[in-house]
Amino acid sequence: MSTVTVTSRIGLSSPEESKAVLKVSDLVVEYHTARGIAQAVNGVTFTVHAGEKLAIVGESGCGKTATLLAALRLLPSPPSKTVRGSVEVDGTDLMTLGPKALNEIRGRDISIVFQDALSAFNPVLTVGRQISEGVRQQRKLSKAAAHELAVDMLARVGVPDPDQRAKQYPHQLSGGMRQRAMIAMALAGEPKVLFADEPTTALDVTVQAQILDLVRSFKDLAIVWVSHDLGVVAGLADRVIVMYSGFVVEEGPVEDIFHSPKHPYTAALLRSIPRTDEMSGTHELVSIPGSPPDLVALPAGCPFYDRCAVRVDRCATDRPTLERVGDTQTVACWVAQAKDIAS
Amino acid sequence: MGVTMQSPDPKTIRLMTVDQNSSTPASRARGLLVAARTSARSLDFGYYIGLLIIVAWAVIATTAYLWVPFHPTEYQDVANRLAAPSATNIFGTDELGRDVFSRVMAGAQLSLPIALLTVAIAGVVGSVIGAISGFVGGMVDELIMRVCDVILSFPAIVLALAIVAALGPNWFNVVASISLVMWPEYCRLMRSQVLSIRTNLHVTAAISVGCSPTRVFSKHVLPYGLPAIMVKATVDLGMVILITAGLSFIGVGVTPPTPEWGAMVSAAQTRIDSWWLVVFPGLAILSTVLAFNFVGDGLRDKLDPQLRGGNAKGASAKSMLQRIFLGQRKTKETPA
Amino acid sequence: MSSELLVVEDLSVHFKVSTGTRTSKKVVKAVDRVSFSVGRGETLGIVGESGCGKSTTGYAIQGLVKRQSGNIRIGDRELGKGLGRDRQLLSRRVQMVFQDPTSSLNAKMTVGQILTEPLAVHNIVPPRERAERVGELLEMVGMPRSSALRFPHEFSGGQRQRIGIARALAVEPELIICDEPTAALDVSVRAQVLNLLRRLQKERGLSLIFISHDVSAVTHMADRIMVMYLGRAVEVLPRAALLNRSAHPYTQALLSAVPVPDPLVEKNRERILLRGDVPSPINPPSGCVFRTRCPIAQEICAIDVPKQRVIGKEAEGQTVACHFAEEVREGGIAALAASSLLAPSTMKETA
Ligand SMILES: Nc1ncnc2c1ncn2[C@@H]1O[C@H](COP(=O)(O)OP(=O)(O)OP(=O)(O)O)[C@@H](O)[C@H]1O
Ligand SMILES: Nc1ncnc2c1ncn2[C@@H]1O[C@H](COP(=O)(O)OP(=O)(O)OP(=O)(O)O)[C@@H](O)[C@H]1O
Ligand code: SF4
Ligand SMILES: [Mg+2]
Ligand SMILES: [Mg+2]
Repeated sequence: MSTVTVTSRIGLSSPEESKAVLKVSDLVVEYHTARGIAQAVNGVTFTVHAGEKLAIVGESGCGKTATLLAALRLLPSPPSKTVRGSVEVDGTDLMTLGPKALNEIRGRDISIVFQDALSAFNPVLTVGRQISEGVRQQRKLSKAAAHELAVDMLARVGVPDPDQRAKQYPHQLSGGMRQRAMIAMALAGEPKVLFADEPTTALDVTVQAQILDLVRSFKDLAIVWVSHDLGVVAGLADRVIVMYSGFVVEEGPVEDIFHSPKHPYTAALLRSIPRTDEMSGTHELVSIPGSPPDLVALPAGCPFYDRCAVRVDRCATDRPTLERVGDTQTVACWVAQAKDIAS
Repeated sequence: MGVTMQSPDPKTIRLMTVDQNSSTPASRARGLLVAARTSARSLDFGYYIGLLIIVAWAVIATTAYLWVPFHPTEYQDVANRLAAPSATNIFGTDELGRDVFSRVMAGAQLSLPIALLTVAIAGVVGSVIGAISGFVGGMVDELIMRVCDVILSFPAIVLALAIVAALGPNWFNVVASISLVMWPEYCRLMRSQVLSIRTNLHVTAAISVGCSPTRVFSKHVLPYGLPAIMVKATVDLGMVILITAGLSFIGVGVTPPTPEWGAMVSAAQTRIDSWWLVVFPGLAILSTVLAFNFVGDGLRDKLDPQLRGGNAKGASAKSMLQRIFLGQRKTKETPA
Repeated sequence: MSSELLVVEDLSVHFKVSTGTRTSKKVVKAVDRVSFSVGRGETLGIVGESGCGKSTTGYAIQGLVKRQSGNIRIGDRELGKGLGRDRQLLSRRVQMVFQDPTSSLNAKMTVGQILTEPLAVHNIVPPRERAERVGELLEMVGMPRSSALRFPHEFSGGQRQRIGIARALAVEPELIICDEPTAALDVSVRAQVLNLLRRLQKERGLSLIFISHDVSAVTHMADRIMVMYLGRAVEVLPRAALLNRSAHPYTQALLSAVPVPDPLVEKNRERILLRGDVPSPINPPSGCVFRTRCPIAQEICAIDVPKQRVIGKEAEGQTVACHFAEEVREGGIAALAASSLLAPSTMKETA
């Protein structure tokens, strides 16, 4: 691993375009609660290549946020505990780094934006100062240079009148502008990978559309975008990971996930949402009965077993692992895997 | 990089309160264990101990004169004055040779009713005025709040003292004065409760279902505001005993020779070497105050269905009483 | 028209809000001169972004907030302006389902007590038969009868919302106002509630007002759709017209901003991006409230308030509040903005 680190750090000798910039393997996160141990993230593994947009979708509570935060080692502990897993950014494993080295990598190589921009900003510092602060420390910039950087970043994310805005405080910006400013803050250190935890969920759709447009314009940036909105994912992602109760249940290119979902959960989810572009108001939506399992007492077999329409006996007892199904997708479902072998 | 932590979201709480049916035997066992632990905590040892002490004192208060070894006031054995605890006088005797044990037991007859009555008056009056204040609002609210401010700006004990001193020292005036000092606290608490509960969505829903204002208030606002009032009341019961003791201590409380705990402690102030004169009535006060505090704490949990787990009883006064005194029966989970 | 169950004319609801300093009070025109109607058995969807006055419209119909002006007629009965007066009567005919199923149910009452309440308040069912009726209501929304003995917190979000729907059904109302009934629910549970509402409506011939900021949910549910922006109804149109016959720039922009869960559609989409955010309702723009973000706004838009007027044939039931509605309906906003005909005027900066 270490040799790879060196070469990619320098940025040389990466013949194939799709260089992996982030490798998360077997991430396991637990929460210690009054009721017992909640298994929030169960062996999540994924790779992100340079410039790739990876989306993680799943319902509320399926462990999307926990995955991102744990990967950046930002989860407060206790109550959480990152039990195992490795997170390699350009070959450096974040899990083994000391606090100082970790701080250096965060912001410079990898960075994150949140859903609630207002609480992510310090209310008593100007926006400009916060945008440039991390970089200023790392690169020992002068005050003027830092301000210039902040203004430049704000302009890049499409904030009108950036010089003025940089001098304002977070609460003086509108919701959409604040979200842009947070993206500017995350991008100030020129990271290779950006984590985005539902940054548009709290916004109005017309403002969301602006932000999505902005993000789509970052061609070279690798992004891990977390969302529960399948529409947003469809318009943004190259590849999609579907999570369910802390497990990755399906992964594949966005077209394949949306047009030929292999996991029964993905398929049901896609048919449960109404669409604006087809005025088929008469058809029934598919609803998934029941609710996700209790993370404190995960079933021994497939976590989706209780709600699954195509389940077989084996699903109750054996937990399916992620296997390749078809040419491009990996799926954790016994039935889907069996079908694939049969065909 | 200025990355900020996200605060844990409400879902976490949901995860911890909604009990889902566990499936594997191991997890079920673990679930039971957790349930046992939490129910042990919420059933609260202290609550039952407290309840036991209060019931004991109530029995003593009503029956003391029937069984105490010596008459609390009339029996005086001056030859045997200031005797240390012995087989005949297990709590010793006071400066007139009266039996301290008998007097402490009989003292419950006055100390407990004073406390209960005071809190009841202050609680009911305060809550009603506070509820009106919160519900009506405007000038009425403003006026009531200013009156409360004025009363609350005096130290409670000093104000009570002044009132009793003016009215004359007897137990009824003690009750009157302390309730007068206390009701603004209930008033404020109730008002703030009403103000916040009123904006709850379930109240809007009740109005939209067609409930009359009185029904909205009694069924949808009061049950949410009452637990806080009841908890405060139980805590205050102990407090009132202490204030009564304080008044008696200064000499404006209950008049001698009537046995009353506070008065007994105060009378003993000049006789430090006769420790039993202070310790036994003092213990009586302490045990009651503690008991009421325990019960108050326990009540808060008992009155909240969310903390309590399933129970087929609703918010009626009867079921509340049942809940308070019988604890709760665990109802079977019916799968939905 | 006799087939209309609810007719709302020129409804305005204003709130006084304090702005920082203690003395200065400003007026928020949460709903401003909105007119619409709901037919029997029809679903009207109300859609718009946060703070545009959707909930307030619903609350005003239900008499939960005081209206500044305007008339509300249910059947042939005109509703009084006061809050209390028509309460009792109104709540028999109009019921509401709220956004947050957790806080809209009294946590201290059992589900049975919650469902009995409307029956008791209106004295519809004799006391002895109420338990039976509660059971029926629960079954109607797909919950076991035994739920009556349990407390709301023992149920999942979707189940709680079904309890809320059962409560609304208890008085057998003619109209149910659903204020974002699925906003607090998970994706996979949302469909359950939407399907239930549609089934109940069909079975009982109910009228629905379905309020949501989720355009796709509204288009799925509604026969007609009212689009709101900053307290105004900018357009009311039949569902079928939404895709290609909408006549207001905001309607078109809104629709174009809604992501479609299909990567191919998304890739080839032409998007209309609006500038900036929704202005503050305390200080709305002069003239047309949408003009600060409108891609085709002209000078007249800053001066004249466009009236809500019928466009196309009367029978189509489309009304719109835009000076250039005909052009927008014909040409589409994207093309218009690009052409010189209605090019953006000079008064705005580019975002
Ligand atoms: N502090 C905590 N204590 C206990 N459990 C927690 C805590 N924080 C999160 N969890 C649990 O961990 C699981 C994963 O949470 P996470 O926040 O990652 O979900 P998510 O997929 O991001 O959901 P959402 O879409 O709601 O943001 C959830 O089931 C949650 O209840
Ligand atoms: N009680 C109130 N006092 C003062 N202002 C209010 C009150 N209720 C609503 N408003 C204001 O009126 C406007 C419309 O609010 P309303 O709740 O109707 O919007 P909405 O469309 O339902 O939004 P959302 O999608 O966020 O629910 C908002 O600007 C809001 O701040
Ligand atoms: S064209 Fe004018 S009236 Fe029509 S929406 Fe735009 S700003 Fe409003
Ligand atoms: Mg999250
Ligand atoms: Mg609303």
